[in-house]
This record gives sequence, C-alpha cells and structure tokens, in this order.
Amino acid sequence: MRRNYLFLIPLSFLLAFFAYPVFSLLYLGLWDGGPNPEFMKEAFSRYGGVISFTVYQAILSSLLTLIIGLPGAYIIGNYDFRGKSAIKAVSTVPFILPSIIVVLGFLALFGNNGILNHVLEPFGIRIRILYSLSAILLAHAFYNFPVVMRMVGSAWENLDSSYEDAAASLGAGPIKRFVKIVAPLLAPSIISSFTLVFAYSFMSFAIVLILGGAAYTTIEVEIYVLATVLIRPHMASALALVQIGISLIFIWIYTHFGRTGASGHRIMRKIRGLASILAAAYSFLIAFLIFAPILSVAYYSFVSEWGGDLTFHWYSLLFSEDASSVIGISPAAAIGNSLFFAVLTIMMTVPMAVISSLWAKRHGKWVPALMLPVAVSSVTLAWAYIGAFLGFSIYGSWILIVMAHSVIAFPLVFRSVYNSTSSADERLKDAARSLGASPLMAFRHAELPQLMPGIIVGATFAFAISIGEFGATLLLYRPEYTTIPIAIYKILGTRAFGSAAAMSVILIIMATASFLLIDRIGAKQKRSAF
Amino acid sequence: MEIKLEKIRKRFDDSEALRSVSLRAPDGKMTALLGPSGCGKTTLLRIISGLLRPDSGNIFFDGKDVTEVPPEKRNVGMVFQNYALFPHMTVAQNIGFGMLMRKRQKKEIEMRVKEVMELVGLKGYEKRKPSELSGGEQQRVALARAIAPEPDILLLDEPLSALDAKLRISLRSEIKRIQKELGITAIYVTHDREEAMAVSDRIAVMNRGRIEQIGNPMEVYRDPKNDFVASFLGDANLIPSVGVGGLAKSPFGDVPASFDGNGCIFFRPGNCRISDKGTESVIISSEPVGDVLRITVGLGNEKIVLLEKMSLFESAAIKPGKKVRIYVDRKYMRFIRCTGRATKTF
Amino acid sequence: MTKISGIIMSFAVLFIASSILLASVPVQAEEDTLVIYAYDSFASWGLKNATIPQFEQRYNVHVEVRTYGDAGQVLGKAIMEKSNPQADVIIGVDNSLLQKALDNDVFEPYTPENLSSIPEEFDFDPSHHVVPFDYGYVALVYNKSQVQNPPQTFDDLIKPEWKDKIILEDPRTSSTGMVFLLWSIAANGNEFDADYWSKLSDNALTITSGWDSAYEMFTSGEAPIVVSYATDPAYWVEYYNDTGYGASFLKVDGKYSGYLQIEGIGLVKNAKHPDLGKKFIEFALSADFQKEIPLTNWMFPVNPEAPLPHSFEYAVKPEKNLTIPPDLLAEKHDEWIQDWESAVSSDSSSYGTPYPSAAWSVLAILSALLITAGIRRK
Repeated sequence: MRRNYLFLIPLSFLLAFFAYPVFSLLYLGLWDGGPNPEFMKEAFSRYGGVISFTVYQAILSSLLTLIIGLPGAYIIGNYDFRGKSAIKAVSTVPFILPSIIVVLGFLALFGNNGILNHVLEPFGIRIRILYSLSAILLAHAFYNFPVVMRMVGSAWENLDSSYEDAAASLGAGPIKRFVKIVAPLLAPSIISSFTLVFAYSFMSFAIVLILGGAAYTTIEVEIYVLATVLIRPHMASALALVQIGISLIFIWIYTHFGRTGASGHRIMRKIRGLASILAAAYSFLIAFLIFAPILSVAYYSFVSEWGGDLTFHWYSLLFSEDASSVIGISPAAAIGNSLFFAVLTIMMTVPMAVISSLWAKRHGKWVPALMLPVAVSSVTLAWAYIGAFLGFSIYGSWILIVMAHSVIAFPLVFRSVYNSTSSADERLKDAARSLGASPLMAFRHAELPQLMPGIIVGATFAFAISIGEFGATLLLYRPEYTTIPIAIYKILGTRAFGSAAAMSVILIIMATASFLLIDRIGAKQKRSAF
Repeated sequence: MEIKLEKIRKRFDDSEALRSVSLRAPDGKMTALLGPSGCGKTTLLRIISGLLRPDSGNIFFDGKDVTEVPPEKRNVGMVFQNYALFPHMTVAQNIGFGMLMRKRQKKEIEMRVKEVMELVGLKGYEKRKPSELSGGEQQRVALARAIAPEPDILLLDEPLSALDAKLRISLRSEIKRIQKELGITAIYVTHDREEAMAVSDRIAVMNRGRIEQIGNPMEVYRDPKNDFVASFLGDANLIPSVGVGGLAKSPFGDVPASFDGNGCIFFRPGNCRISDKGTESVIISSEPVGDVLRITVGLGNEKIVLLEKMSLFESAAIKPGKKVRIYVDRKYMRFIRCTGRATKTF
Repeated sequence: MTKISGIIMSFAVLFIASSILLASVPVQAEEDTLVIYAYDSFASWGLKNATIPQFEQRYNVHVEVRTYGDAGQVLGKAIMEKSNPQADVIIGVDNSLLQKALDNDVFEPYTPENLSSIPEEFDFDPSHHVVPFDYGYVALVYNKSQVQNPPQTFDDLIKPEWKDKIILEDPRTSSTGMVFLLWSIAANGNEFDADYWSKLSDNALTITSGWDSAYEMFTSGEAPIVVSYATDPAYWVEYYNDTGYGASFLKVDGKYSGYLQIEGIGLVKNAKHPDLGKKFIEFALSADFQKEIPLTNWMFPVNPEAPLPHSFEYAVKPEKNLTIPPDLLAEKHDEWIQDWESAVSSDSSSYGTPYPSAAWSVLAILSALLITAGIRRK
C-alpha cells in the first residue's frame, strides 16, 4: 500500500520536470495569441529538407551500425573463446563515452591534421571525410554498434540450438535454417537495436554540430540554431514537436516489435579454422574502432604536435589563467561541477527508479509511459525548460541542470532496475515478513539485494549520461556551472586541440574510475546481501 | 529401414562419450536406448540423426553408408526433449515445415498436415501458436511434425520426460500405436525403464558409453548379462558367488553357470517367497507397497528383498528380528557377471 | 545497517569532494556583482583580463563575465531572458544585430557623458540603446607566398582559378560569416543573390561553423584564403614578426570597399545593477579600456585618443565603407539568412531535393513493412 504513495515522488518529478515543460512546447509551437498552424506549416515546408535529411542520415547510420555490429553478434552468439567476456565488456565503452569525446576522437583520428592523415602522408594519400555525411555516419556507427552487438548477440546466445537442430532434421540446410528459423527469432532484437540506434542518431547533437559542418544540419541542430541564434521560439518549438512525433513512432515500434522470446540453451561452438581468422580480423576492426579514437585523443594530449616530443604542456596549460578565461571557470571547478551533477543525478534517479520499478511490477502497462523521456532529445528538453521555467526563480540555477540530467537518464536507469525485478523472487520478501521483518526491513534485506545488479547498471548509466551530457547543459548553463564537456567544446573553439585532448583524457579517467567504483560498491552489496 | 552402427566412437574434451558402440536396429521396430544420464544415449541418437559427427565408425541406413551425409539429407524425423517447436510459426506451419523444405506443393502439404494432425489427435489446432498449447499438446505437435514428411526413421529423445506421470503413460501408448501403424523404424531414448519396457520391441541398455546388452524387453528383464543391467531394469537381488565347473552356489541351491569365476546370483524380489522349504533368514524391515508387503531380510552377510501378498493380519506377524524361511525357484535364478556398477535399489 | 551506510558513505565522500572542488569558484554576494554578457572571444582573446580587473579595483566591485558563443547567440540568450534579465550590460551587439535588439526591447537607453569624445560616424544607434566601442572590417586574408594576386571582385570568388581555395564561415553561427554575408548583399545593391551564393558555396573549400575552425584550416595550409579580420596581418607582425599575410577588400564600382562593422555595448532594461552598468559603459569608452582593444579584440577602437600599436600599420582599411540601412537590415535579416540556407545547401546537403524523395520513400516502405508485419501478427 505504502508503495503506491511512494510512487507519487517519481510521478511528481516526471510531471513537473518532463510533462509540464514538454506541454509548454505544444503551446509555443501551435499557439500565438490564438491557435496558429503557420509554424507547423513552415516546419514542413521550409524545413522539410532538414526533416527528411535527419531521417535519412539516421536510417543510413542505423544500417551502417547493423552492418558493423551483426558480425560481432554472430560471433558472440555462436562461439565460445577465451576473452569473450573481455570483448563484451570492452564493447560497452563507446556507448558510455560522452559524445564530445567521440567527436574529438574523430577529429584526432580522421581530421585534416589527424593521425591517419599523418601516417598516410608519405604514401600521398589524403583522407578528407570530415565535415561530410560520411563523418556523421561513421561517428554514429562507432558510437552505437555496441548496442547491436550486445542486444542481438545476447539474443543469439539465448537462442536454443534445438530449433536449428529440428529444422536440420526436417531437411533445412544451413541457409534455409538461417532464413527461416534464426533470422525470424532474432528479429525482435534486431528491430530493438535498430530503433534504438535510429533514435540516438536521429537526436544526435554534438556529432552533427561539430563534425557536420554548415551544410549538414539535423532537426536537433536546427532547433538549437532557431532557439539561440535566429531567436525564433515558435519555430524552434514547432520543429521540436515534429522531432518528438517522429521519435514517438519509433518508440512505438520498439515496444511493439522488440519483444524478446523465451531463452533457451544454446550449444556454443569452438572457434577454429577459417572462422577464427575472420573472427580475429573482425575483433581487430572493432578494437581499432573502439580504441583508436580514444588513443588518438590521448596521443594529442601528450605531444606538442604530430611526431613531436612528449610534453605535459597541454595539461599545465589547462590549469592556467588563460584556460580559465576560455572556459569561463577554472578547470578544477568544471571537474567539480561535472562530478557534483553526476552524483546528484544518481541520487535522484536511482531511488526513483527503484520506487517506480516496484510500482510498475503491479501496473505493467504503464511502463511505456515511464519511458517517454526517451522521445525527447536533450536540446528539446532544455529548450522546453527555458520556456517553462523562465519566470521562476529556479531559472538559471544548477537545479535545472540536475533535473534535466535526471529526466534524460531516468528511462535507462528505470529500465535497468525494472529488468531485474522480473527475475527477483517475491517469495524472499514473503519469507522475510513471515520471519518477523517489518516491510522496510524486508525490502532492505530481501528485495533490495536482488535488485542490486539492475541498480548498479542503472547507476552507471546515470553517471555516464550526466557526466557526458552536452546538448541540454549547453542551453541551461551559466559560466559557474560549466561542465567538462562544455569546457572541452569551448577549448575546441580556440585552436588548442591539445588542451581539449588533455581535458578529454581527464574525463575518460574520471568516468572509468567512477564506473569501477560503482561496480565495487554494488559487488559489496551483492556479497553481503545474505 | 534398418539402422546399423559400427564401432562408433565419440570423445568430448576430456571424456569418452561413446566407446566403440555397435548396434543394429531392425526395420519397422522400436528400439529403445535405455540408460542413466551421461551414458551416451543422447549422443548416440544425435550421431544417428547427423547432428553430431562421430570421431570414428560408420552409420548405415539399409546398408548405405550415411556417415558423411548432413542431417538435412538423412530423412530422419526427430522429436526433441523440449519439443523445439518453432515459436514464430503456427502448429500447421510447424508440421508442414519438413515438406516445405522438400519443396512439396502447397496443396499436398495442407492435405498431409491435416492427415497427420488427425493421426495424433490434434484436429482443429492448425492456427494455434506453440505458446498456447499444453505440454501434452506440444508433444503431439512435435511428433506430428517429425512424421509428416514421411521419414525413413523416427528418433525420439526422451520425448515424455517433461510431462507428468499420468500423461506420460497415456502418451507413450499413443506413440507406440502410431509407430506401429506407420511401420517406421524408431529409436527411443529414455532413462525410464518402465517406459522403455512398455514402448519398445528391443532395448539396448547403455552405461558409460557402452551398450551393455541388447534384447527384447523380457529377455533383458529376465536374463540380464550383468548386475548393472539387472539392477537398472528393476529391483534386483544380487548375491556374490563363484562359478566352478558350470555351477554356482546360492542359498537356495546350485545355479547353472555359463562362466567360471566371480559373479552374482541374481533374482527378482517378486520371485522370492516365504516358504517352509526355504533357507532361514532374519527379518530386518518391512513396508507395504500397494497391496503387497516389501520385506527386507538378512541372510548371512547379504540383504535380500522379497515381495509377498499378505493380509493385514498376516503382515502383523512380520516383525524385525523374527526368523523366516525364504525360497527362490531355481528357474528364476541366474548367475551373472558382477561389475560393482549396479544401481543400488536398497 | 552497514551495507546501506556503506553506499551513503561513498556518496557522501564523492559529494564532499566535488563540493570542495566546486568551492574553488568564489561565490560573491549578489549585491555588488556586475553581470556582463559578452561573446566568447571577449574572454578568450584577452580583452576581459586586460580591462575587468581595472574596473573591479577602481570601483571595488566584483564583475562576472558570462560568454555564450558569438554575439548573435549572446543577444539570443538576453532576448530569451527578457522577462527576468540576468545580465546588467551586454557587449557585442553590432550594427547588424541592432534592430533585433531594439525590436525585442532588450536595452535601456543610456547616453554616457564621454560619448561626445567618440566620432559621430560610429554612432550607429541614434537612440543610444547601444553605444559603439569598437569597429572593424571583414576582409579576405591570404597567404602572400601562395597568392600574389588576390581576388579583386566578388565575381572573382566564383571563378575556377579559386576553386577550393577559399574558406568561409556560417553566418548563423559566426559573426565573421555574418558580416561577410552582409558585405556581399551590400555590394549587390542590398539584394541577396541566391544564384551567386549557390555557386560560391560550391567553389569554396568549405563553410565552417566558426572563425576558429576556419582559421585553423587556413593556418594549417588547407587553403590559402580565408574570410577573416582586416587586422590579421597586424597580428602576424605583432607576434611572429611575419609580414607574409595580407588582407584585401573587394572592388565595388572600381573602389575597394568593405563592410563596416561597429560593435556596441548597452545597458540591459530592468538590470539588477543599473548604476554599476552605467559606470562600466563609461569605462568602456574611456582611453584606459579602448587602448586594450587593438591587441586583444583585433578591432579598431572608436576613441581617437586610444593609441594604436605599431603593428597596426599592417592592418588595412577600405577605400569605401559599405553599410546596410538599419531598417532594411531589420526587415530582411531573417529572410536573408533563410535564403542563404537554401542557396548554400542545394546539391549536397540538408535542404536540397534528393533527400525528400529518398527519405520519404524509405519511410513509406518501412511503415508499409511494419504495418503488414503488425497485421500478420494478429
């Protein structure tokens, strides 16, 4: 019973900081004194090309991501080998990497002054993919292929081998088995991962903003420009509404077609022969994709220029007066801000996710509603905040930034915790109660430990999302609330790529350390649970 | 179609699953592979189906060597322990799958599916999905799917183990009926001896990668070759003895021995009676089983179990410590090899 | 108890650590903190550090400078916050942004006493909502070793000999780009030539989002010409003793002409600290402030008493100043930006025709597939 009351907390949070701002967008986009369809009309006429380009690049990005990720899924799903869990763990890296670092990585690797160009210079080859559609697609694919690899790979791993055996005994050769049995059974996970990647590419901001150049704008960038440069709040809102509409379609697809089937036992094969050569080649490719950009960034942070001497110049520059002028505050303060916001985001989202999960167990059909913030991009959300909260004293304070981070992170955290409730055993709580535990103690000692795996994953996501958040923070911040990604963006605006790289390295180290810390806290919880 | 296996060997990592197994499964008959878990029966079945390749040895279908033939070309129907019904297809699509793979016409498939569904008693279930069916219904669909494409051989891998006892008993006679009606050569893997006895024409008892004995159910039950087979097929009394010059001594007289050396006297509890002309023994315990009393007595160093139909009044007389005479007719006793691998029943 | 308190302890530690780091930002009382909004380079190029401490000392106050991108974005933020102004003074509203600022009623008119020492030609806002503090020109900056005869007219820019040799900036995100766009319009009789711009964007190497990335590409040798400031050659002389860079204007009616950009500073309407704001505006026009402008902002000071550094001999000025009448500018500004967007993106990018058909057809196919899949499932 008390659970229902507790649910009012996350409910009011979502109403105040998600539903209300988003509905105020509706107002701005459709209303100007009276109802005004002009803005929506203009959105589809003038910006029709932008809209279709955004969809187009998102579809291309998703297809490219599928192409890169599916072989990995195949390997994960069918073979057992040493280092399998290492590859799985490593493949999560791009996904939790802040987008600004992905951008930097690409600049460092593929840029005109990048490592690849320097390496290929003696051969007379010049790579110029930056500020083009290819750069955007490649960056999206790099960022998102782990989603495909893990989701489809995990579904494949759980695909009972007896289906294929049965098909074989009924006369189906290897190709027919794949087409008629494996592919249809993998379809939910493929659709899920495709729509997820589509959503991320569709709403991508930093990558398009920086790697795209003037000619390639997406809806998200256009909203940003309309809101902050052209100062056309009605048009910005109209476009935001279009964006939300399209992403709602894809969320619907995800919830309806992305249902996973029952899991069974799969017989794994040992990898050998030609397969092992191909698998090794593929592993090198993804290792390159994952690590090369990060290593390039690290490289540029330690040398004065390509081929130059090792130096800590960039790092010391970071902590100088000049850097503070550029960034707006001292780098140390920016680091502090990022940590502060990230910790607060965890403290906000995790308890709310737990409460929501326990409530949602009984009211399962409301789960899609709790996932709705996924349909609203970070820039759109921040823009909605500005419109909704301008008159309030909360405007301009760091509280709005934390709220934005929390709303953005909430669906992922909720999903992680909610997934572990399905495997949690109700009877443990009943046993605890029958042994005399109060509801709170029963929760703490019987239910909470079972939710721990989901909570850890959720906390990690919350931290990763907050510390890497760029779009919303860019719209809502004040100089004293500068975060690391924004600092990097500002430094990038000057010509000190090395300093930007140094700041990125700091961010990567901090993020990794925090993930490990979260994992350790969680492991302790799991161990001492019973 | 007769199945012949010659010297099949299979090794997994560090253990030998099958040690040079040879077997002949006669045409049109149901041969059971019976044994405890890990004995290799499922491995052997998968090798027959082609889903697994043997390390060495050959498989012959009606004299033709099919060892190198992939499973999809062997024309075997297989029923899996977990049924493996394609979850994304309807019952009709599942059953018609085999014929679809063999590129039959749509009309032909439809007719055959209907035919087979009637045979297994599932008329009207065409459009259902596997997830909507009960365990027994799923099992029947699995069977229908396997026989629809008219395979030469039917392989069943513990098809009933996931069902409850009553269902098992009724379904196993269904399977037997269908197999007889179709006249199809079948191999039935199970660890349940009752099931094997009820269903099969021949039983191959397996243990640790070897076939211990093959014969028809009565043969294997009455004339087990060794203590393992004896105890696996039912409760067995085993008393160590020695064969000398064609005879072995037992508490109830001499028993003909086909070999000299160490062995066991074997008889079933059901063939042991309380009788005045018997040997003296001491009652250790007794428990009622149905309308029969199961009495454990001690004879010398050995424990012997016997079954006696007794009234309540009579059974009151059976008290631990009392002396009682028991007797086994020689025709029910055998002298068999004792390997120490008997499954303990008491 | 210990497990939960373990979590709480760890969070507390993280929280405290970050708060300590956070605390390194001095928090001053709101009462005497002047808030100034400015464009990024005001801080990153050093004008802020050269002048703000002086002001703080003189009046014993704290000044907080907040930068939000380029001048257009700064004004945008101020307009967004109109009902609850966060700034007291805004630096950077220039003659192209003036009407937008006036239309949105962002400023409070204020005529500082020392405005009389500023030449009238720079007073671009008669109503004095915004007063001028520096001016400059955008020009074609080129590498003399690679370019001996720079383009002379706007038409030259679209000729094949200059293909992929010029770097431009996006007027929506860069004020350099904005001024260049206005220059091209002013040179064309105050009309936007879509055909010209379509050809120009194809002929140019690229259009970057900011001056910084454009200049980065220029200095690393991607192209020998970049749209930049007329004071650039002075910069190279001042810091590198390098006279190898030139700046040139384009001829209109036979005379080298350039678009005069005047930057202004204004007092925010309903500012929280209007008196301090007024003092700052006066300070911005004084010689102490103005003399710092050349070597930090790389613009020309409006105050004739401010001395110019020696290297500014290499900075160029046009023979003729071009401007666009403020009311026309206000009326057409947004339209010109949107026409520019369409002109620039014709073939290979967002706004053009290939995408609608391709994307819509893909979407259509996808939806058809999904609908049929959905129906089949039922």
